[in-house]
Amino acid sequence: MSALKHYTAQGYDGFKQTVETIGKGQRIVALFTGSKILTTGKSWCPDCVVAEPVIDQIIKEPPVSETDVHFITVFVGNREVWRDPAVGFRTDPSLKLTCIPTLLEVGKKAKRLTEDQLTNKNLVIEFFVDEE
Amino acid sequence: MKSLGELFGCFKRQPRQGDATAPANQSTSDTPSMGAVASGMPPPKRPAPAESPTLPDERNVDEPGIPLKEALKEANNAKIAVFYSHNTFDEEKQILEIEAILKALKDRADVEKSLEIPDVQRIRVSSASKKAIQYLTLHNSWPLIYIKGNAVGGLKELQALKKDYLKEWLRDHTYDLIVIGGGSGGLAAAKEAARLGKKVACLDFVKPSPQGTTWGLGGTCVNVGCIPKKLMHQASLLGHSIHDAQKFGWKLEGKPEHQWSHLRDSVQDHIASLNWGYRVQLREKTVTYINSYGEFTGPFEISATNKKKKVEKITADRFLIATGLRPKYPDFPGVKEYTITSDDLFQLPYSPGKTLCVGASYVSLECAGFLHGLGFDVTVMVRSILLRGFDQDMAERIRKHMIAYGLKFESGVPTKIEQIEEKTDEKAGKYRVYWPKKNEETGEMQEFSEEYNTILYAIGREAVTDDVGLETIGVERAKSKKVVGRREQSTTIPWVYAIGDVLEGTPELTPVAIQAGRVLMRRIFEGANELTEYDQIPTTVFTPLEYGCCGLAEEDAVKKYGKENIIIYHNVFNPLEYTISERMDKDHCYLKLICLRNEEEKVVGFHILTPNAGEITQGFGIALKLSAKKADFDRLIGIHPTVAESFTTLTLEKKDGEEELQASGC
Repeated sequence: MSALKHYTAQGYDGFKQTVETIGKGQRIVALFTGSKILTTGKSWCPDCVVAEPVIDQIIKEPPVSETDVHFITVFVGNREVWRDPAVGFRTDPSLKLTCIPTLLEVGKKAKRLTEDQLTNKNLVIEFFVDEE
Repeated sequence: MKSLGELFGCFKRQPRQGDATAPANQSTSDTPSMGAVASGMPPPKRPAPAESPTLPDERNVDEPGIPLKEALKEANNAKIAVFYSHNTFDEEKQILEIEAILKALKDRADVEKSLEIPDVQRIRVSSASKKAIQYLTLHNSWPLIYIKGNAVGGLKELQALKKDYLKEWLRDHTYDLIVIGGGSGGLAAAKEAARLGKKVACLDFVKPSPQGTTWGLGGTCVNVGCIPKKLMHQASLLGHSIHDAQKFGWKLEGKPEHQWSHLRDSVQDHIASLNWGYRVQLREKTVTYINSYGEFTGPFEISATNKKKKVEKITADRFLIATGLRPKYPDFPGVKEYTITSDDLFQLPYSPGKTLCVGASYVSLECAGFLHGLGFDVTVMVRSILLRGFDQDMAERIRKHMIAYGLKFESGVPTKIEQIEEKTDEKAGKYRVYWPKKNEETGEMQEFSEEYNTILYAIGREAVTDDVGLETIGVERAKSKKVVGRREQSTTIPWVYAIGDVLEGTPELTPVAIQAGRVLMRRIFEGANELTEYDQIPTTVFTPLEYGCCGLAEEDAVKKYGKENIIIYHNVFNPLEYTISERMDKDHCYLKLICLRNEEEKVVGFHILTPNAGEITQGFGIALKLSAKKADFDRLIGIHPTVAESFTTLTLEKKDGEEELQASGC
């Protein structure tokens, strides 16, 4: 029975390590989101605060929960880390992130949804389910 | 009493000299656009600025009838409507017969889910409106029947429709519209229909090329046409800019080298983002995207087959065929195995190497141009003339430039191709191409041959409509296998429409397909009084030295208006940017305006061979649309220093047998 496997990773190195652990030949989808502030428990990135619950809900229910995919929630770090133009997320040619939150399929860098698009439930579900 | 003849004999007109030679149609609109397939569509007359077509004053109280705009909307909204105008006995008789035919479709009382036959809504319009409606639809039958918003024709056309088709037409279907083809035309139409609140499905499926190449949503332009072409053209131009930069003081080490794989990957990355962008867009605009090959299996039914061969049946009230074209292949052994086309070039896994481009089309010349610019050894093989359909004087200038630029041209047609070395995923193969050529010394035809790493066939594109089920339902196709349309509506099946390259008689250009798609959707879903203007479409050939044009070619203007009526203003020029860099191109830049002597020198043709021709031509295209005259160009003050300003100071007339023009500096 296929099912979605959920991981979390911290920072760029954490992300790279998790991908390596999952190994080749696997479908990997990653959500890049702002890290949570310890004092408030909420992310410093307002768009991320809006998008996260939508995605959390979607991955718990079919059809996404039954999709054969590895899903990584990547906490990119605090605001300073993210803003740095040299941060791995921005410079890595296979990622080239320009904003968060970004939902991206690893290995298919064109296939991504960002910001507002992540509040469109149907769009997000199709993103996970579609293997094209 | 004098006879009338005697009375009026003295006033008998002598035929004037002018009358005999003046061509019947002075309008500039019924000519093929540059390089386009000869237009089979009747010419749209130039409409007034507001809505098209124009209409005389509606408030003619002598004629009853609702205003045109309202009438079109009513016909659009009704299930069945009939336009009539005079309430004559004949019109009434026809309408009664129409009603009778429809009533006869009614099921017997005991049939389950019996078909409800709606009443025929009669819409009375003035005779002026009648003319406008006939012009808008190009249906001359009157009274004119509309079924579910589609113009059908008159009583005769209704009688010609199959009874079961007619019955099925009146039933409900899943979608308002199914678009077959997710390219420039299909996507624009699908999005517009969705914007108008309709339930739309868009089918897109790419059958792999003989080399196995395939691509995502977006059609030819996005994947294997305009977009990758322009990017690679740019890559090639940048190579030259690097050379030029040194003359402008930039210090650069060594000779710039180009890496094919880097360019290919960058181009493909961009295309992938466009493919994805369209998928998201369709989703956001609630268009159902189906990645399957669609085929008619019933008058209102499509069977859609996906990659895994799964078949899904869907129905709609209307269909739009926008399946475009694919490259043509010649018919001799080895050609599909050993050669590539534009379908494959932009994803080529290996560097092309020494290349032969077969064909004299703009596809062949543009590809040859940028491949040469990137550093490859390129030969172009042409059967006869370059750029058929385009101004031949300009085509000759392009040929001269490409030769001076370093491209090789061969006259001939390949007859055989032998594989010398098989290609791999990393390396191009090697092939020997044979063709008959006249021996310079003996004058005899001999078989010549030459080896190439890549052979690109660009001898034309054709409609691939045999597997779409068009014959099954009776959609008329031309010999070219394109769909025959009348105002983009199938001439035989009124609920089927076609736009873009697959529509017979219209220019094979992305912006034409996009415009046609949007305008058609407004016409059939809103009853809008709008038509696509297929004349005076500006275009540009992106050869190394670009060629922009709008309106008539010189030879077409001469044919249409007569040589004495044409006056051509022309000039050569050196782009300022090319002077310091000592570019050879500067000796080839040229422009001309083709004007009509007897219409105050109205400009009917615009041609320019220059860097950035596309940007320049787009701007001047509006001048032709607004019927500009030479004097208008003269009173326009130029921007200095530019190339385009030359159009504001043209004084030289082109005369036969004169010497080549020499450019002067400024």
